[in-house]
Formats: sequence, structure tokens, C-alpha cells
Amino acid sequence: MRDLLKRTPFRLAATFSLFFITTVLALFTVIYLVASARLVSDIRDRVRTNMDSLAVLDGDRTFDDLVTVVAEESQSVRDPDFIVELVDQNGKFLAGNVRGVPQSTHWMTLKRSDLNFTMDRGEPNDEFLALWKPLAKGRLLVGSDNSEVKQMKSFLLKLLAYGLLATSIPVILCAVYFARQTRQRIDAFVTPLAKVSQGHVAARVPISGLEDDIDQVASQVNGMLGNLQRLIENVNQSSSDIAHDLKKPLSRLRQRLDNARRKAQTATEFQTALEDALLDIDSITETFDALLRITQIEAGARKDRLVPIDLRVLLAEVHDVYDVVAEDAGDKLTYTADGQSPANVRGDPELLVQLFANLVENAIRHCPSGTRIGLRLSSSNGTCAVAVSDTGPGIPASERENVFRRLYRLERARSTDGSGLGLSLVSAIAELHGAKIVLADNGPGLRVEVSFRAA
Amino acid sequence: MRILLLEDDANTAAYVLKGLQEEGHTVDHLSDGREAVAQAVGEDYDVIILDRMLPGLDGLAIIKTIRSAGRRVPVLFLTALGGVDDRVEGLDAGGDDYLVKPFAFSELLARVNALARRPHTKGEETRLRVGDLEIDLVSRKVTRGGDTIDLQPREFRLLEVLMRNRGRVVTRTMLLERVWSFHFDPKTSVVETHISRLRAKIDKPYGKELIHTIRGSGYTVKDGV
Repeated sequence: MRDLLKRTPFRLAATFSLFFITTVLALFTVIYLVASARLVSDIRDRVRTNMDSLAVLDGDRTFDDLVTVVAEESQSVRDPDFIVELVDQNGKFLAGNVRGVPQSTHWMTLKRSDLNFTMDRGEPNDEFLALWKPLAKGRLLVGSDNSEVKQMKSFLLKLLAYGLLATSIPVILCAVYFARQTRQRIDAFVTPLAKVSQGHVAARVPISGLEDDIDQVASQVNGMLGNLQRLIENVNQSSSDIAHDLKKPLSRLRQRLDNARRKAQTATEFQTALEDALLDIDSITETFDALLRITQIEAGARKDRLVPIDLRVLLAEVHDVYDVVAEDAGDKLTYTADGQSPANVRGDPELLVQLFANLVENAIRHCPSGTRIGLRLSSSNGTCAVAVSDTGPGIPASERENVFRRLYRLERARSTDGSGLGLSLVSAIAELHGAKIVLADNGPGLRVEVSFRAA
Repeated sequence: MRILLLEDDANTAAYVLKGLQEEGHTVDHLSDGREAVAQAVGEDYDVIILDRMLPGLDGLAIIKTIRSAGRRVPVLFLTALGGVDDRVEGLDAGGDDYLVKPFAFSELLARVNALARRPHTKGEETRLRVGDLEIDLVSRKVTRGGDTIDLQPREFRLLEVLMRNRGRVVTRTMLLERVWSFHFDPKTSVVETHISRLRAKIDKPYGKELIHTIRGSGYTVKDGV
């Protein structure tokens, strides 16, 4: 039970039921107060009317008649629902069905058992509402029983009890049902999340398909877990890849220096060996720089540095730099932009230039001479899409996911130099810009599509 | 040139110090940030080489102090941090150039030379001349031996950077940064290709080379050998 109370759905259900019951009670209290006030005032009116009709006889000549009327009225009923007492100026009993009622100037509530009846067989618990009225030659008390008020009270109380029972039970059942339902869905989160904390990052929370708020949380959590899994895999893979990848150039460097030490004779030979060694070191440093850069970009620190950029201009510059490079490699680089309007996106100009330079360089380096390379910009529906396509060998569909992994290199690319970080960097830059990147078949060749949200 | 070197790593300091002295420069070396500020403000240097991370004071704080003291002396940042942000921060703080460790000495030297103020420049030059080659930065006209040479904008920009540094070495990296705003190392021969296109227009028809390749460093424009 204690555990149950700690659960949010049950606390909500309990709070809700309590609130409902309190509201019903308050409502009944108001009805009760209003109705009983109304009844009491009806009874008082009745008493006054009665009293006024008797008081008509108040006068020097008619006072004896009054005494007679009161005496007759008192005797006519044995189980009276009204009381009457007439006394003279000295308080001496003259007539009536009760005697000795204490004097008061206010309304009195009198119990039948406390009254001194001249003749009576009524229910001892009955109550009367009574008032004294001063007369010329004495005082007159008239009272009426208020059993109607009591009846109404008991009726209302019964109504309240049954009504409360009849409504509370469904409300409580309903609350418990929803609480259980919610609890089950929350419980469904706990198991996979507990697995994740134990290190099974592949676990996912279930999505009910109701598309409600819990589903929204679930899909956010799953997205987060997906990211986490990818990051962990990246880290695991990267550390071993880095170790592997750096061993290669290091062993090459070592061989080179070893060779020079054993075989080099002339100063020129030593000089050449040293220069080659420096180049090897530079390429190792470059790998480290690229890794650092990717890490920094992925950390997202540069996000606040994004400024409005016209992709049309930026791509023209990239084309301007690389068309002659492509030409020298025997390729042809073309740039086409749909329409005339600027293609504005929010971006980091330095990184975007690197992104497209990287894709164009990949095409130049990994495709045979004579390849046609296309840079194409198209904007539609708030999206600016850039496609970098080539007519080279392409990337097999099964490999397209892998090439974004750090230090990953296609089998056939292993002969060319390169760090295997280019596309990882491209993907990191695209992600920083919230851009989507897709590798597609250009039939023949590869088409890389990067789509940005237009600014 | 009189150069102030602020570097706390003894190995790097010795490497730079020795190299610069061999080039005939006078170099003062300090490794403490606070001392460095006093020295930089109190003395007259042509260039300050400043490590980004120094004990005592951060490199950024040092340059801000120097600048707020009204010193316009050119500052070259050295750093082990290779990140893009670090460069931008350094330049924002008032640095003039930036070099990431490890670096080739020739790269450092070229950048120091490029930073040093020319002793006799009065205002901004608009016409630059080397031998019979002349470029006009305002009308963007290039002539050699009286012939007008038609250059594309990108070729003009490349030539302009070389001409502004005439007689001095401009490295490949410096060209990438200044001509194309490339702050990364391209995997294709971008610089070589554009230089060869430029040579085809500037040098080839005239039989005498003005754009020279300095092996292992970069390029220079000068008349004679």
C-alpha cells in the first residue's frame, strides 16, 4: 500500500476521487442550508398568520372571546401539530394546550418532551417553533411543529448518502482503471531503461501507437537511446580503429627511417628519407586534427556561430576552386542552380565549404579519369538540396551506411591515401546544420544529396 | 626583426628560438604570462609569437591586455588546440594569425615575415610591382612588360596575395586561407593547380619566371634569383 501511494498514477487517482467527493459534499451542504432556511421561514409565516388571526380578538370587549377560542382550539385536537398558550398580564395561565412556556421576545425551538401539555399523545421528539406576542391584557404564544424540517433533513441526508455512493464508486473505479493503465505503460518503460543502465544500450521502450504524450516521451527516449548507442559504438569502434589506423603509417615511417639508417649513403639520400618521414608525420597529424575536428563539430559548440548563407554563392565558389582541379584530373565539374533566387540557409561558411569541397574531392580522387561530376542546387518547399554526383564506380548499397563511420574505407579505396574520415566529417557538419544526407545510386556512379532547411 | 616569443614548452621554445635566430632575428623568450604583458607593453617589438596556453595568464587575456594598452604590434598565436573555435577566438581577441602545433618551421617563418610591418610603407599601396609585372588593386588591372593580362577573379586574388607578400615566402596553407578561405587541408592539388594556371598567364609567355616555388615551404614572387 505504501508503495502504491508512491506511484504517480495512484496518487493522481486518489487526489481526483477526493476532490470529486469534496465537491459533492459542498454542493449538498449548500442545498441543505438553502432548503432548510426556506422551510423555517415558511413555518414562521404560518405561525404569524395563526397568531394574527387570534390577535384580532385582542381588545377589552373581546378578550373573553379570545380565551374561549383558545380553549376550544386546544381541546379540538389531541395530537396537535401546533401549540398555543394564553396568559394574563401577571403570567397566569388562561387557556391553551401547553402551559408554563418561558417568556422570550425571540423565536424559540421547543421540544415536545420539555413542554407541559394539558393533553397530548404526540411523538416526544417533535420540535416546535414558537413565539410570544404581547396583547393588551396579556400574552399569546403560538408555535408550529417543524417536523417538515426534520423530514427534509433526513431525506437530504439519505439522498446524499446514496448519491455519493452511486457516483463515487464509478469515479473511483474509473480512476483506478486509468491509474493502472498508466502505471502499466510507465512500468513498460522501467524494464528497458533498467537494461540500458546495465549496459544493454540496444533496449528500446515500447510505443503503444496511441500517439499520446506518453508515446511522444517514448519516441524521444528511443531517439535518445539510438543516439547514445551510435555514440557508444562510434567511441568503441573509433578507439580500436584509431589504434589500427595509426599503426600503419607509424610502421611505414619506422621502415623508412630504418631503411635510411641502414642503406642511405649520401646526404641527399638522408635528406629525401627525412622529407618523406616528415610527410608521413604530417599525414598522421592530419588524421588527429580531423578526428579532433569531428569531435568538436559533433559536440555542437559551433551551433551559435551559424549565420545566413546563400548556398548559390557558396557553391559557385566551390566550383570556382575545383573546376580546374577536376580538369587537370581529366574530369569535368559542372555547377547548375535551379532558378535565380538566393538559396539561404543558416550555416557556418567555413564548414559548409569544407563539406562540399570534401564531396567534390572524393569524386575527383576515387573516380577514374573522364568522370563527369555535377554540383546541383535546387530549392523547393523550404528545403535547399545540394546534389554532388559523379559517373564513377559508385558505392554498393550495402556499404552506404558504413562509409560515414570514422576511419572506414572501402576495399578498393585502400590503395589511395586518405584517412577514412572525410565522410564522417561531412556527416558531422551536415548534422550540425540539421541537414539530411543521403547516398544514392546515380546510375552509374554516386549521388550524395544534402538537404538543408531554408532560412 | 625584434621578436618576442612567449612559450612555456621548453622544446618548442628552443626550436623556434634557434630557428629565428639563425634567420638573423633578435628574439626575447619568456614563459610567464604576467612578465610577458609587461615586456610586450614596455618594449617595442615587430612581432609577438604567443602560445595560447601559458601558466599565469591565458594567451587570450594577454593579447587583450596588450591591445587595450594601445599596442598594435602583430601577434601570431601558437596552439596545440586544433579546433576551429580556438582559431576564431584567437583572432577575435585581437590576434593577427594563428598556427597549430605541430608546425613546420618554414610555415612559422613565412607567417612571421608576412606579419612584420614593412618599414617604409606610407598608407595603403594600390599598385604593386615586381620586375616588369604590375598589378593595380583598385582597377584590378595586371600588366607585364606593358601587356595587359586578362585574369579571372580567382586568379587575380591569388596573384594579389602573392604580390602583397612580394619577396617573401607564402606557404601553401597561407594561400588556402587567404585566397580561398579554406581552413582545412584539401586532398587534391588545389594550390598547385591554380598556381600553374596563373603561371601559364603571368610567366610562360615572358620567358622569365617571377613566381618561384620554394621547395618544402611555398611560393614567392620576386625578380631575380
